[in-house]
Amino acid sequence: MLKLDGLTKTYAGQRGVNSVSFEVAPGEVVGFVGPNGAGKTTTLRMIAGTLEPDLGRVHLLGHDMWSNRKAAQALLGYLPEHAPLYEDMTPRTYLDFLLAARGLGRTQRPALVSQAATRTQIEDVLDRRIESLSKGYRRRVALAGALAHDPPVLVLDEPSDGLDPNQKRVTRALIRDLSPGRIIVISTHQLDEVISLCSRLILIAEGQIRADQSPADFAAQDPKGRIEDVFYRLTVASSDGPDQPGEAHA
Amino acid sequence: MTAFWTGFRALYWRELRQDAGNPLAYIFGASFVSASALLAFQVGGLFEAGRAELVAFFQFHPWLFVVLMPALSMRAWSDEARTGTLETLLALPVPTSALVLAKFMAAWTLACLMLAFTTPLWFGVSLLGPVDHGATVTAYLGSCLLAGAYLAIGMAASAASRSQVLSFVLALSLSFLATAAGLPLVSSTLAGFLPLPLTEALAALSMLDAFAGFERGVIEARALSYFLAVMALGLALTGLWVDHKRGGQA
Repeated sequence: MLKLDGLTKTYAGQRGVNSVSFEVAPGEVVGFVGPNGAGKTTTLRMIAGTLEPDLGRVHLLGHDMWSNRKAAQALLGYLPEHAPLYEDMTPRTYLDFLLAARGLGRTQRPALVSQAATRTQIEDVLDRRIESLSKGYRRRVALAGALAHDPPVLVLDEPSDGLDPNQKRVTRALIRDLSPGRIIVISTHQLDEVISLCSRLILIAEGQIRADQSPADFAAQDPKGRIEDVFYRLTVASSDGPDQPGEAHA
Repeated sequence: MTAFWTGFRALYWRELRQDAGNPLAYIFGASFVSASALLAFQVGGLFEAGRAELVAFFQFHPWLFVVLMPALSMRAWSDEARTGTLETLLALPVPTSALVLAKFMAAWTLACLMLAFTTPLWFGVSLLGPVDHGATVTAYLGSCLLAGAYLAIGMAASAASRSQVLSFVLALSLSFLATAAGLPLVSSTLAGFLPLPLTEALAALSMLDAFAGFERGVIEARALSYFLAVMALGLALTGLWVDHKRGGQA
């Protein structure tokens, strides 16, 4: 179980995230959606242990992220926002580095690198320098880094951002394949991704949770079942929201 | 193996490989070797002294390191923060102290390698007359410690800012102050507006003062403690800055 209990983070006197609480059970794929600046990435960073909350706790499979961070992070695969990578490395050396840092032995690592490369379809660029890769490949290398150690919890910030439709399809299929028995939390702007992939949608706006339900129930709030319009209605108070309902995009 | 050592080892080798593939590292190395030799011959009068000793060579190391070590360390943390890879590092189940020590040790290894490339000068001088090899080894040890102290200052400056340039300027300024404090000119100037005991204390804390014994071939416990203390302080500050970022600060 992943449990967030009253997570609060304040930036420059303003609450970036305000008392966010939810639980995610193994097998669930949660789509964490919201407008820009809503607090999605801040929340994900607190789950991943890279940002300390001002208030509240994160419990990850029985481990408290801040009192037992190393044990909690060992169970976690995290794809940070913008998929940062070491440009001077190749995907193979990058994945090997991450696995080595996680304490995996020299004999185990090549098989895990191959498995992650196969899953994310980066085998053909494994020995090219990352700086020479396209955005789509780079995103998939970063994704491979998140799942290389086969973690039971995956936290993915915009996993399909920058991918072409075919690559998105592959990535979504991969996440679907990974979901049985795993806890997966995905931050995304793409509502179609939530519908096709997620068993649950959590909407955050202005640092607070505005909805937590299945994508179908969420869409059912609109008479025509238009998920974009429900999203607009629930987030319109946000300063970054679109101006008109008709301009709301997935 | 503990999370500390697995994390340390993985990041240490990653950093060294990055430096090995970075032309800047070779430029730094070549600059140091050529500048130290040039200063020893042209300014220090290595040959004119008529003695087979390397004091003229070592006496310029503090001033060369004031510039070179901040240049060597400026990328260490600022680049990680700027490119977002710090997020990847912080999500690893590795203590911050292991990350800090790994980056420092990798940079220090490189600095010591740069020093090793100056040993042909030692052998060249030994052909001209009897050299006190024990004193020379001690001076090299002092030079390594000196480089480590400057690097620790540089690491702390690098962790304090996302900008490489700002990190460099900050480290350069601090290193210069820590060096120049021991110059008679600076001491006498400071004595004009600071109490004498404070001026003397500042002069005693100078890198020049601590290095002087090593230059003469003498290992003083006080100087050894000084360098180790500067390194420990620099690395502790680096760790604090990195953890500060985990707290959500820039």
